This record gives sequence, C-alpha cells and structure tokens, in this order.
Amino acid sequence: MPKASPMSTDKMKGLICRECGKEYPAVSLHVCDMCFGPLEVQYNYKQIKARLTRKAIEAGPKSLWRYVDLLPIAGEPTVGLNAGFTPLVRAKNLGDELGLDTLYIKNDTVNHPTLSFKDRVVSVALTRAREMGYDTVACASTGNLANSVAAHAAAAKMQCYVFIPHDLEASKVLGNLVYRPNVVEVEGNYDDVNRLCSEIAGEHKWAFVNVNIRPYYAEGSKTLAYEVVEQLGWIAPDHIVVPVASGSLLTKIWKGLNEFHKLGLIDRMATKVDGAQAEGCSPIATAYKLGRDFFKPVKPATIAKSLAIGNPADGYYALKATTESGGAMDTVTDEEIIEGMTLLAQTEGIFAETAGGVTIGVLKKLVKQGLIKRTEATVALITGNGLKTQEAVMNAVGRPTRISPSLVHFQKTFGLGNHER
Amino acid sequence: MSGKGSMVKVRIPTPLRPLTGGKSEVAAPASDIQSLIDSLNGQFPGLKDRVCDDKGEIRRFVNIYLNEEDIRFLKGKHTPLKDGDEVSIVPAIAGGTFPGRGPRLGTRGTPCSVNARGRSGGCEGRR
Repeated sequence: MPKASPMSTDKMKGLICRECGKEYPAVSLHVCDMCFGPLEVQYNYKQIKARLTRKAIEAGPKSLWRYVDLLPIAGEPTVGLNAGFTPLVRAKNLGDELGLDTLYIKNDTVNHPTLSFKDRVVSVALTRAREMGYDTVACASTGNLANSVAAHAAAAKMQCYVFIPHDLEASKVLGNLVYRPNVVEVEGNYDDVNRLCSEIAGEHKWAFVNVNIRPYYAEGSKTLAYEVVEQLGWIAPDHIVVPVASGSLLTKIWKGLNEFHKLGLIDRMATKVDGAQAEGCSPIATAYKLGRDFFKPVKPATIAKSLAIGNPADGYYALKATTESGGAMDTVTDEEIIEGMTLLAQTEGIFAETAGGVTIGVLKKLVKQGLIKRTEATVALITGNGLKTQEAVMNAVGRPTRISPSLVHFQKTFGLGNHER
Repeated sequence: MSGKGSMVKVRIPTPLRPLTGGKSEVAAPASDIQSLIDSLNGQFPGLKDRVCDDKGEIRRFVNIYLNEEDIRFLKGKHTPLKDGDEVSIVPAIAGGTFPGRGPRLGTRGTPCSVNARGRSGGCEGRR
C-alpha cells in the first residue's frame, strides 16, 4: 500500500502520470489507476532553479549526491553515499580506430560498490525506501541490479529479496550470494521474473525498487547525464550512445539533459541520444527501424543478458526520446558484442561487460553509416564490468603462454634472443 | 456488418473488475474491437473511459489481445471479431495482481538458492 512521505519537501511536488497527467502524492505507486500509464516524479523546477548553480554542484560531494537537488528524496541521502562520479575517459585510441576525433567513455564499470550503473539507481531507491518507512527491499533483475540492491541492503541493514532468471552468469549469481540476501532464482527469463515480482509486490509490503518505487528509482539514472555534462566542462555532447534494456536509462539520460538545459546549467543542448540493443533482443531498435511508436515483445536470445528484456517497460519512451533528439538505434550480433568488448579492452584498457560490447558495436556501426560524424563529440555509456560476464569472452581472448621458470625458455618462446654472457 | 455482431469472450484485468461487478470474464456482442468496447461500456458504464482516451483511441498502456495476438499488429481497433474469439484487456505495466495471458508464473517452481539469516521458512513470495 502506498505510504505517505514522512516529511514534505519543496523540490518534489509528487507523482504525475506520464500519459493522462493525473497527479498523486509522493507515495509508493508506479501505475496510474485511471489510464494505466507509468508515474513519474514531478519537481518544483522554479524553486530548484532559484538555488541550483554550477558552483553549488561543484562544491558538492564527489558522488551522485552532488545532484541531490534533482533527485527524488525528501531528506538527506542515507544509502549509497559513494556511488557515482565515475571517470569520463578521453578515448583517443578507440576514437582513432572508429574514426572519431572526440570520443569519451563514461566508465561505470568502476561504480561503487558493485561495478555497474545500477549503484546509482539503487542509492536513490533505497534512500527513498527508507524514508518511506520500508524495512525490506526487493527487485527483479538481470543481475547487476540484484548485485547492487543486495550490497546496499547489507550496508543499510535492510532485509532483501532479489529475483533473477535461472540462467545468469556465475559472477552475477555469486555477486548476490556473498551479501546474504534471499536470492530467488526463477525458472524463466527476465520478463517472467518481472511479471512474478509484480504479483509479489501486490501481496507484500516491500519496496520493490523497479516495481512499486520505480518512479524514484529510475530518476537515479539521470546522474549519468549530469556527470557527463559537468565532466565535459558544462557542455552537452553531440551524441550519447546508450545501451537499451527496459529503455529507462535512455529515457532518463534525455530527461537529465533537458533538465540541465531548462535550469540554465547549460546554454545549448542539441545532444542526439542513440540506442544500442543486441540483435537477439531488440524490440525497441526494431520498432525504431520500422518507424513504429509501439513494439512487439520478444523472447530474448543473446549473450548480453543484462539487456535481455523482451518486454521493455519504458520502450515507448525510449523510442520517443531517441526520435525527438534526432538520434538513431541499431543492433549487433553476439560476435559483434564480443568484438566490441575486446576492442574497448585493447584500445582503452577498459573491460566492460557484454552490454558495453553492445554499445561499442553499435557506436562503430553508427559511425560507419555516417549517423555519427567524425567531428561530433561523442560519449559512450559503459554501464557494467566485464569481470561479471567472463563466460562471454572466455573463448575469445586466448590462453596464457606457459613456460618453465627459465630465462632461456622465456627468451626462446618470445623470440627475444639470448643475451646471456 | 450485422447489427449484433459475434459473441466474444473478454478477460477483464483486476483494476477494471470494480466496473464488471468483480467478474474476471464477460461476454459481449461485437463486430470489431471498437464495437466491443462500446458494447462493454453499455453493460459496464465507465469502462470505455479507462480503456480509451478522450479521442476514443485505445490508451497506450492498455494492451488488447485477440486470441493472444496484440491488436496493434492486426488492425487495431478495427480488428474484426468472430464467434468464439477471446479478447484480453491487459495493462501494459503490471500494477499488482492481474489475469495475464499465457502461463501463470506464480504456479511454477521458484527455488530459493539461499534463504539467508534464517528469517523465514521459505520463499514468502510463493503463493
């Protein structure tokens, strides 16, 4: 049942239906009871604008909480105080390889503490859950979200249930178990898990971060856009390439950029937001290519398991954001995903998970097609760490060279000649 | 089109059941989806407002399936109906329990890999 916020706040007005505009107080509710549209947090932008400046943000903590004025919590942050503010890496080598003069990697493979962008959304969701009085948190997850919810719940001493598909990568399963939450492996794919969680959320008074408190949770993704802009020196790039699963991240990147523009923190905003999906699960990119504003749910079959959402909750809005921004969407095969992962690792020294391979693969295609031009400043969002999806590249990276502990053997093996006296 | 049309079976989601007197399945005469919605609204006043916007278009986050196929991939609200057809109205985003199409997930096994800290005897989510 929805709970009232313990304190009112001036920055958050409440929730509003994205479809019919019906307004609600800031409770735990995610679907409009009139038209079934998704609910979104509504802010008092006038009041925020009056006090929010670049300087004020720059003086904030080195975490996503420097943007607390644009995040949906009523009080002070209490969970995930070190998440966010990850490096924006100037990727000269990869840019040279792909034919881009100005390429950056937003490197959330080193997000704190669970090495994916989910640490952002979970910090916001759990802080909000706590202030709404919940003691149990839960989620439906393709892996990274579960890892982050489990870790933050442990640190916040909250009870925790994470629901995952039965066929996840070993590291993502282990990355739950170590924190000792209740790990529930569901015999089915993510869409089955999500469906089950909706039913459970109707029965138990838990904060399901991506079900009943989704409107708050999803806002955390905006911080990726904020950080990119701030780290570029308060400039919005020409392109941001975003991996797409539920479509929420892409939608919130677009929202974050527009908020910064509306608040006067950037003068110009002409960013094109491009979406990247795996061919084996591309309901949104397929709709984009067909020029539709609706999509057909699919049964995922891809190594990019973190993107394997066949019935994406924010698919419509992701399509809309990409189209509005003038961006594009494309897909890559499993082989191209592995190529993308190894290319990023071997040019920039960044080991991304499969979703990163999707992003780099699609970036490469968009440059080839001329949809991203050489001179356009481009940022690729790399949202998860390759150590969590080792299975994908295990057979593509070769083996170590084994030698006996002998200098001669070493030099012979590598053709270095014998310099012994 | 005949005036009465065919008799079709319609599955009603939980949030709309207050309008159907709690019934999860109803029958209505209709020749196509649009006339079905009108016909349902005759029996259960107010239902059309929930399913359609003020221009009469089916709302974006309401999915309507004819025999398991999303009508967006058929002829939308002009999709013709015949005797014995089954129509499901399903909110696109689950807001709690609702009748779905396809297998009910909650009836399958959900093994708990870990039931840590000894706080509960099993998976509370299983019903």
